[in-house]
Amino acid sequence: MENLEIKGESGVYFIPNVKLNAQSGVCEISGESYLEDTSEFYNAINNWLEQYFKEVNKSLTFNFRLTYFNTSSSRSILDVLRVLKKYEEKGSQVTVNWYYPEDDDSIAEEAEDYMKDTGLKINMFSFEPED
Amino acid sequence: MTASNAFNFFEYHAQISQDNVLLSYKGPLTDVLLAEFSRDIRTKLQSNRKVGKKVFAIFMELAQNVLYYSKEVNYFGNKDKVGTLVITQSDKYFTLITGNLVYKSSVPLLIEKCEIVNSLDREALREYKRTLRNAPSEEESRGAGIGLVQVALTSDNRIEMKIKELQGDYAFFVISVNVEKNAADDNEE
Repeated sequence: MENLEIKGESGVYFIPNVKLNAQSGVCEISGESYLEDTSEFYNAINNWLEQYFKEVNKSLTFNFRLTYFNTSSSRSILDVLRVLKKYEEKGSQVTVNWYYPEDDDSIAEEAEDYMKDTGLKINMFSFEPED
Repeated sequence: MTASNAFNFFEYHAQISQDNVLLSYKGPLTDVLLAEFSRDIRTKLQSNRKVGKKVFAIFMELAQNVLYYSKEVNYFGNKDKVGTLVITQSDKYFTLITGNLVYKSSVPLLIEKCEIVNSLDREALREYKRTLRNAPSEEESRGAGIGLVQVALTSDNRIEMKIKELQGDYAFFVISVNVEKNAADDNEE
């Protein structure tokens, strides 16, 4: 199965870095998320995850390391977490790590709220953001 | 009479030249402009990172609302939406103000949304945001509604709303929100 990699950039929109690795089962999204077509962007991630769980189905770790996302992205992130929850319930081994900038309480709160919404366990870690 | 009615350019220029105006724009809005403004805000506020990020995030939500929902359209070029964006600062606050035309018929719903948001404490706001986020998104609402809730959460302040009824079908709709400069770390529950 192919990996999915998207190189982030900050132009008219803020595109996050995405690295979904089918061999290691380690996935990461980092940077800032404010997109022209938010659903389309995150659907690509969800489709990859669906395929991974159907074809590879080893354990999977998803690391979120976002420093900013708009409310539209926050809806789509919830959809990603729902896909992860769905496959966890079917017996797949899923680990979700949520890295939040140490000076940003609201991104930490988001993880707490996502846990309530999905019932997924989300491990939270703070990190020192770079400029 | 003429003097007081005429647009006083010198007065206008003096006012926006003061240090306390970080951004003042009225005109057509595009995603390109919005990105430029947001970069400018981040550069200007980088000495106060935590608060700068709040102002940036609130600006993005409010400006996107104007970009999606303004009922004033510039018929030259690409029919861009027209709106007004202002950021000022005082000793204590940054203040973000946006203004745009809306249909008079939308005004009651806007007022209701604002009143709901202002009536909720932080925990209830988070709950409300979750409810909105879980609901299937409405037709015209690319996440709006949630945007206002997020603005209240990020600013930790009330959202002030002002409406001026115009002739015909439209009203001028203004949102203003303060962000404290010395935001104490009082979010721990």
